Amino acid sequence: MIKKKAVEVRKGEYMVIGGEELEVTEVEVSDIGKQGTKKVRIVAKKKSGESVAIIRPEDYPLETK
Amino acid sequence: MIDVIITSYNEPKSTIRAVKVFLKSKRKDLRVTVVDPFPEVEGILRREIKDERFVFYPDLGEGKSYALNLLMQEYASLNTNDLFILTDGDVYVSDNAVKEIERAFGDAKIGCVTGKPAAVDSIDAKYGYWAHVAFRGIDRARREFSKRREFFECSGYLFAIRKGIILDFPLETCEDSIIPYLFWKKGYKIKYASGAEVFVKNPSTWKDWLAQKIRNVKGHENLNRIAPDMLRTKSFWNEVKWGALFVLRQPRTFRQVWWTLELYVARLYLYFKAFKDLKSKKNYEDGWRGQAETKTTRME
Repeated sequence: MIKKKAVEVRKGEYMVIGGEELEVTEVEVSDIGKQGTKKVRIVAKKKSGESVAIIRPEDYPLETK
Repeated sequence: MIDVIITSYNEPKSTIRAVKVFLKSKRKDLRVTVVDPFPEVEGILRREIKDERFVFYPDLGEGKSYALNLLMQEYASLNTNDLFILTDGDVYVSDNAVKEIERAFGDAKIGCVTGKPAAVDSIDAKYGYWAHVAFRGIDRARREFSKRREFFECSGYLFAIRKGIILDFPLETCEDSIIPYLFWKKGYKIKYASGAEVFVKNPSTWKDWLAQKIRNVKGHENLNRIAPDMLRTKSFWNEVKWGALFVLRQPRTFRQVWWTLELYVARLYLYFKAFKDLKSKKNYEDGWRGQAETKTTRME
């Protein structure tokens, strides 16, 4: 397991949330928002095909595989 | 594992009480997380709460739904017997709340369990009376829906969900409606745990009452766009259907009869104002209850 900043996560990589592996299908970085940071919106797909939206500040650590 | 998430907005005194009720339980598989956008609140809470099961999570300033989404993902688990209990810092629960909630999850088909809001306000004042009547009406409706195993919306003051079922929910609407809906769509039922009480201080001025109710109505009306196929329990027409006659049967004194008539006018006005705002594109925005400046709902 590797910890990556949200902004470094790429499409096609796998993220781990609560022990479940999810495949990253979309990554979008927003402009600087009201909190003075950029936000990263990651859409990841579960094995069941269900999509999950993960929104984090750009430097937020996320678990990837 | 039970994760209690308390969303608060710079109300440390009442948040301490909210946390301490949960920590009265000695169970080791319980964690109580307070998420609050004010860093100074952490210091105050840590001085008062020494329990290692207590966690403070600084909110990133993006609103309550955002914070809940983040923690639902951070504390996610594949074990569907693990639970999230979601509540607020400006309310507190009864000592038996966790046990009652857990008991309600005894049926594996139950995905969401909602508690019972109880007003701490005096029934001898107009807004207190309105709150008592509203909570009685909601209690009656929830009992009925729960018994029939039909869909109904939970109480944002206290509700619980199984882990491992959903990892996110839309930000632009009320979490107490959209989360039960997402569980329902996955085939889970919703249960009303009337023994799990949550004590709430309600608005005591017209300005605060109107601000709180308009915000609620707008949040729920957004559901029409986000979840158009969702069966609505908190809506104008359901209020008329479930409440119009029920409210008339509540007064016990002449003063309460007068307040009841005022309540009809007030409810009509608030729906008029909320729908007018929605038409002029003043939409619901995710935020914290305290930001709506409903100062009289604070227990401090």
